[in-house]
Amino acid sequence: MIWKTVLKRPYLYENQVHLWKLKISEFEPYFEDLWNTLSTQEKEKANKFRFKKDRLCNVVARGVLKKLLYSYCNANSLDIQYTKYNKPYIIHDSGICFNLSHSKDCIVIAIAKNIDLGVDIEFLDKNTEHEDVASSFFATEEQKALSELKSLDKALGFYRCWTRKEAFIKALGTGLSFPLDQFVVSLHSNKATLLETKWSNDEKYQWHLQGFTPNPGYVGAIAIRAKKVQIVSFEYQLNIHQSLFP
Amino acid sequence: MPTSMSEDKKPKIEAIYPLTVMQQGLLFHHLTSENDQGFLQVQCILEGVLDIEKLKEAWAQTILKHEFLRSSVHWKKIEKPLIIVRPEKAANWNIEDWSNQQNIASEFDNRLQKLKKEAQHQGVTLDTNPLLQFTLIKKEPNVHYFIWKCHHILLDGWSSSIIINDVFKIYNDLCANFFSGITKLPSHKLYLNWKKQIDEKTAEAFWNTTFLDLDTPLLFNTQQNKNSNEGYKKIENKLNLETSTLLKKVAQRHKVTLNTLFQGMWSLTLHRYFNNTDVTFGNTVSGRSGGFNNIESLSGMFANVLPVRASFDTDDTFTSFLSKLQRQQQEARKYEHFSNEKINTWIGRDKHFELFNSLFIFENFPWKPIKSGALEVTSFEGGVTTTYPVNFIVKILDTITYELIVDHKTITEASLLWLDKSFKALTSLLLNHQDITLDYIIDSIPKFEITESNLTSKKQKYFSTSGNPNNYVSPKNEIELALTKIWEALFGLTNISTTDSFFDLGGKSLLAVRMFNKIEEKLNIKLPPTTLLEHKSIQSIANVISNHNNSSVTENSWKYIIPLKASGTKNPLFCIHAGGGHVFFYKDLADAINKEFALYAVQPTGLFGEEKPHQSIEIMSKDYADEIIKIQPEGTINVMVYCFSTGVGVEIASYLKSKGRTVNIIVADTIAEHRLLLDASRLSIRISAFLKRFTSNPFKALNEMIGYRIYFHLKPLWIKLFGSLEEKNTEKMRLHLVQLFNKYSWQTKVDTVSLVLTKKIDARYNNAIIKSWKNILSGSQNITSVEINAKHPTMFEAAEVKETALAIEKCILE
Repeated sequence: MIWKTVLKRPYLYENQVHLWKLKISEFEPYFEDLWNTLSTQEKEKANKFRFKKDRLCNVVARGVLKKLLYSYCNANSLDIQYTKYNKPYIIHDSGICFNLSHSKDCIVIAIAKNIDLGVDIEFLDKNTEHEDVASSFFATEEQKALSELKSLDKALGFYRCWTRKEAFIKALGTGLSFPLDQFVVSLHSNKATLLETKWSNDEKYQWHLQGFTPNPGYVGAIAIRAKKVQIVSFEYQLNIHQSLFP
Repeated sequence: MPTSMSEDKKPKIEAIYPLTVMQQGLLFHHLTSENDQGFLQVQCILEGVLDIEKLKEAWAQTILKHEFLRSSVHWKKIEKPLIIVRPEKAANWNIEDWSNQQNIASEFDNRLQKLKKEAQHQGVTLDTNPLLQFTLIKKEPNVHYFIWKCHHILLDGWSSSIIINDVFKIYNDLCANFFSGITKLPSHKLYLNWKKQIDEKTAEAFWNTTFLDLDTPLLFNTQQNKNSNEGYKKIENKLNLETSTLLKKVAQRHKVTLNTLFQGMWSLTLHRYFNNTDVTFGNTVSGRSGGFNNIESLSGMFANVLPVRASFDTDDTFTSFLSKLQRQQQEARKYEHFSNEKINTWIGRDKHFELFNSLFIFENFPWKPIKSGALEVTSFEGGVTTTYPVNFIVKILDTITYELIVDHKTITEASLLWLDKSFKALTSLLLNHQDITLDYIIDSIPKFEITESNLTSKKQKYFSTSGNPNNYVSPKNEIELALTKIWEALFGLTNISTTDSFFDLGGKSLLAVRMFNKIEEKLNIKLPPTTLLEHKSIQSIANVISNHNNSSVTENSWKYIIPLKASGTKNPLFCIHAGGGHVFFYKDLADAINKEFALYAVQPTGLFGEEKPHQSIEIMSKDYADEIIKIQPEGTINVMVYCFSTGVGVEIASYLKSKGRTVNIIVADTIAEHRLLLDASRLSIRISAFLKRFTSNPFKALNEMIGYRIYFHLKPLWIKLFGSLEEKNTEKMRLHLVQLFNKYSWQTKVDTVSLVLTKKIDARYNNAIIKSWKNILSGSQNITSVEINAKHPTMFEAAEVKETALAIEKCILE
């Protein structure tokens, strides 16, 4: 996946998903500006983080998300609401929908029109108890695929599987209340596929899954409920940040 | 007047030069540090017949040739320190003969070490005669050791090698009676003038581009070993000839110099240490690449330390990474005369900004054996000068030697050993793989375990707590303690308060999943990750666990029940699995149903081949019922059945009735005893309805009406031939459940049934369903039915589930 740098926010076509990535630390000098874009409740929420790094992440994510959404919706204000599973969404005539994920120093935001989507990134941490987590939460077929990987590839395989699953349940909007072993994703490097859903024979045909590397050392995946869809990825840089209204 | 005075009065100063920034640094270090890192002793062994007088003469000529040999450094009572060059200066020779005292071989070495140690202790006096202290020791009649006290403030490593070569070239000529005077070298003044006219604009542009967008540089934390009093610690690795040759081949294969190869390897080691793809380090350069005439023959302090930035994408191959690095180096060499202060200003940082604090030294100046007269000059020993806490030094001769030197006052041994180990691992990776991606390298070399103290950078402040220490609540019981330990390990934090929210600490879902896994492992209790939605702190989770332990549940967790929606104020709905054993087709129902109702799905064991499945409907139902009443200890229990689970609903109702509970069976569009479908009397209904459908939409009709029977008869073969492991497990379960249902006797009677029926083409169909349930009602008949606009196979799917949910809500009894 190539992350384009752009000077202005590209037009979003109906069959497209725009995927933005950014480095949190790059926006650290602009903390004040971003902070000022937050509502009182958002500030309260940010202040609850015990660690500055988490607060920074939260503020950058929220600030940038709002900038992007205002730009895509061409709106001066938007009410970001939450489903009962805590998935944020907006209701807007443009049909803009979005999903965000962050890990360590990286944030990705996916934006599309009227398409269910979910995105997840994880910093590859080799110390994760892959096998334990896999055996409790992955589908049997995934566990088997994971066990067949060479030991060097296991951590990567695990994270591929995890991000794909997480992206999928985020797209479904159910969060962790959804049992992770009830659907099967592929672990292969390039081909991300939803192989099976236990509750329906046909659901898998509705989805497009794609793995990506947001930054070195990170693993990411996006799940989109649409078959014919083009994913375009951009780097969210300072210049684009400044070019966005307001 | 004594003669010496009158001689001194002659033009005694040939030139005065200011000290460069680097020289000022070395002077400062010399004056303040006990261990003067600028001081070094150059040593070589002279084998063969030595003419001492000719050697002295050769040195005298060389001293005339190289102005810095005649200089001294002055700083007392003057504003800015200076280098003063004299027209002539005599050397101090200390000649010793140890040849008759060496009965034991090691004795010579001991004495030599002692002598050098003393010399090290004395150091040099920079303001008198710093570079002209020579010691010549006779070991054997034809073996002499020559030791030259040097200081890096005036001569860099290249210079000492140039000078030694000059000395023995002249000695050779003297011996051969061939000497015709020294070649004059351009003065340092000319060099300084030349340097002034170098265009700084392009240099500035280069350095600026190189460090564009650099994050806060990652530096070795020099606080990590504060209490140690030890000096520099060194690990030396001499590679054998084979490995050396192979490494040279690796460099050739990647079309880069050995220097670049080692820099690349060092960068990657730093990448892993800091776990960052953008690192900086200092690189020692000769400073002799500017195109000034004869600069390669000049001595002085030309060497410089230049910042190197190595960043990469994991998609890069090792080759592309190296060539990028080599390009940067080649370009940098054009601008290598500039001080770090200047570069810092150019890249928009403070003059004294610390852009790096580790040093890479690639020593390839010609320390090769020299033949001179009857002498063979060998076994050169120089020394390195460093004031950096971490240093990596490569020495290239026939074989390659590299050294890791850390200032043990500031860097721990653990860091040193890690660097050594990782560099070795990287070397063997490169030797064992022809083509290698950076991805692979990163995956293969474990990152340095970052304890907080290892990393200094501005980022560190984000690892510090901002919370009020008064808010800290310590664990109050064993469960809280165990949980705190789990959290500390997962978050890599200490001082977690039991009131801290998991999410406020930065927790995400993967961490949540890992936490519940750890809880299961350590506390032997399985909680769903969704627990966190309501219980966010250690205190709160500990309460959940202790309540769980106090309750009469013998199992550690629910075996059959999966909460699809755990919160609700009214009586919950329990949805029994269908024929395949799966329950997650109920998820849309959980979303659609009024939020006052909690929704639990009930799933069989053995679905994933991990446990033995139930052997009869009766036992299965009893087990399910036991778990259901744990969740709902009082009130009417609402159990929903669909497809094959009708019998289970019936048995649950009957079993719970025996325990004094009321059960309402909500039937989702399913005939009580499915075998009745195959009765001849009903066959006609199905065929006529089927044909009606068939004409308008054959495939849909096929699926809707006999879909499950096609499944029943054809699918096993399909799965046997093509199915995945998952499908095979599911299919095994399905067949098992079918067997159980077929065995089921339908003798039990129930009290309350609520039917939710989908509209059928033929009304007789729904009547048959109602009749089938009436058949198994006990005396006190209580049956309701409602018809909805949905179809049997899709009634729980997105498009129809709202209507289904509405109807079900009305059926739920309080």
